[in-house]
Amino acid sequence: MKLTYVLFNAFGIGGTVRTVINQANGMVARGHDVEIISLMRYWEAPPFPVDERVRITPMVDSTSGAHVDWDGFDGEEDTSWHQSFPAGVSAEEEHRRRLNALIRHLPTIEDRIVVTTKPSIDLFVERYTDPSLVRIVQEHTNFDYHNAEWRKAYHGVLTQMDALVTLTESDRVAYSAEFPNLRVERIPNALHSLDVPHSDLSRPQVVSAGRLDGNKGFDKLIRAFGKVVETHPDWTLRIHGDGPEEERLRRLVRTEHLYNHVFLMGATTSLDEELAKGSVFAMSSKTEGFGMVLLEAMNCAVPVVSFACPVGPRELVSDGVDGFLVPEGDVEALAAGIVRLIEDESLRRDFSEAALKKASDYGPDPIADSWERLFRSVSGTE
Amino acid sequence: MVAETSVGAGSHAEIGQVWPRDGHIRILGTIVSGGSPDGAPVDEPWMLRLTSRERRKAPVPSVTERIVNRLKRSMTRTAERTPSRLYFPVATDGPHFEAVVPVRDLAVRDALPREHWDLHLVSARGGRRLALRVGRHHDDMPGKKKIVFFPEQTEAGVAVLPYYTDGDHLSVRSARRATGE
Repeated sequence: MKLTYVLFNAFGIGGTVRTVINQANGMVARGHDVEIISLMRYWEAPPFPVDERVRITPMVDSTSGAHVDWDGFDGEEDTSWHQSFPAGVSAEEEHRRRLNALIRHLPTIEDRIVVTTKPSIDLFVERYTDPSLVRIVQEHTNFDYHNAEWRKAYHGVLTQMDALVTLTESDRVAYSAEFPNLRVERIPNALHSLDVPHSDLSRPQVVSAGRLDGNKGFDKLIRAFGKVVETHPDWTLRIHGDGPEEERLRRLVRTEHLYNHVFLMGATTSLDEELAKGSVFAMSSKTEGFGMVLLEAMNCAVPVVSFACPVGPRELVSDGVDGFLVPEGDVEALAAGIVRLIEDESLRRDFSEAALKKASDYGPDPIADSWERLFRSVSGTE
Repeated sequence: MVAETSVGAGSHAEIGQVWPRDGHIRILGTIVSGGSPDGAPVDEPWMLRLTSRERRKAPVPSVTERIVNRLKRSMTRTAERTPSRLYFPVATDGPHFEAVVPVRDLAVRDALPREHWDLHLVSARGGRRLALRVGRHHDDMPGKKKIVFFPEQTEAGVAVLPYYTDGDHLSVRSARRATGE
């Protein structure tokens, strides 16, 4: 099969790019022809390892310092499409340039299955690719995420697509109810490998990871950890990731006098190694599309404590078996869950073992099987 | 200057915790020699030494200058010039140590606009001087300069901030703040 993934930025660090690159690597390893279209490129290489057989085509390449379109286009800007898309899409010149390059590229795609990964891109894929192609939407955020204007535009294009793939079962149910004529399937994200370092659960260290933004709720985790160290002053918390809330969170660490216990580590490209240093993984997100990093922690044999977000964590974590789910936003409960695992080493070991078992269901092979089945079935090659 | 030596390869004062609060910088840690905790006796009690990078560079005054300075000070009643090395007592318990630097001791009258103090634990063993750089290296977290940020404390218009250097050593920056800041 010939597959084209359309991605916002294959060169950025984030959950979507990581999972799409995993999928691309998995598919190319199974002998399929795989291409990734990235709207932009600022660095020579993506931050996650990409199989050399996967072609990455940036729409606008900025690695040289100048912006170069994929086709070398240097003519007048096409503004004819602005009115028929949500206003935010064409607000900035940089965005318009990338989208114009994408608009010129999409009609050139022939005889390929197109997988699109972001609502703002889905709109363009629907409008500008040959409708006879197999077009599949991969939804990385949950059903309730989009505002009214977006929902209208987005839901309009979904009816024109061949399939929608959600990450969670609750989203599959929600989209199926909304679009009775659309094929909706749940295929969770795959772990990039099951061959990763495992925690020996010996270090007095709690780990977490994610973009430092309001949604990840790290302020709540830091406050919860302040309570943990009152009774367990030898334990520390490491948070991996960067983002717009970094300064505010650093200030919180200082004002709460947690600088000996809470460490904002910055972004890492060796997440598995860092997760495996932890004996407990904690997640404090308000919402999660899926909760990939929970799964990655479990893959490193680390038991987890997470807020029970509306979707995501509650499908990944079996409460009391491989982790604890605590009421969303409840700092006391988050602290209590962490403390329970700190104080009970045999519970940590039980959860760790169960976490590894859970992770194996999300290994590259079973997930790639699901995708292959879907591609074959939708393209009628079954 | 008397030659100083370390107590062998991998010797330093390993930080456990740094507490910059309530007008003090409290440092707790472990004396480490050759990679292991070192509680062996020393000839004299350990002291924490703060060495100013900027003051050290000032030329040693000549005898004439010293006499003139002393004369000036006796006439203007200004305080003694702050030396480039400050010493603070250290409490030890086996290899473990605790030292406290009062912020006011760095908020000196002749504080420079911006000054950096490097921290060592000093003593002597078998007649040889020991100077162990204070830092944190055994926590599997290199690059603390970009990870750990301590609060700043201000006393008498001088802001005092402990920080990790590029090599994960601990230093203290003091900076004169304009009044009203």
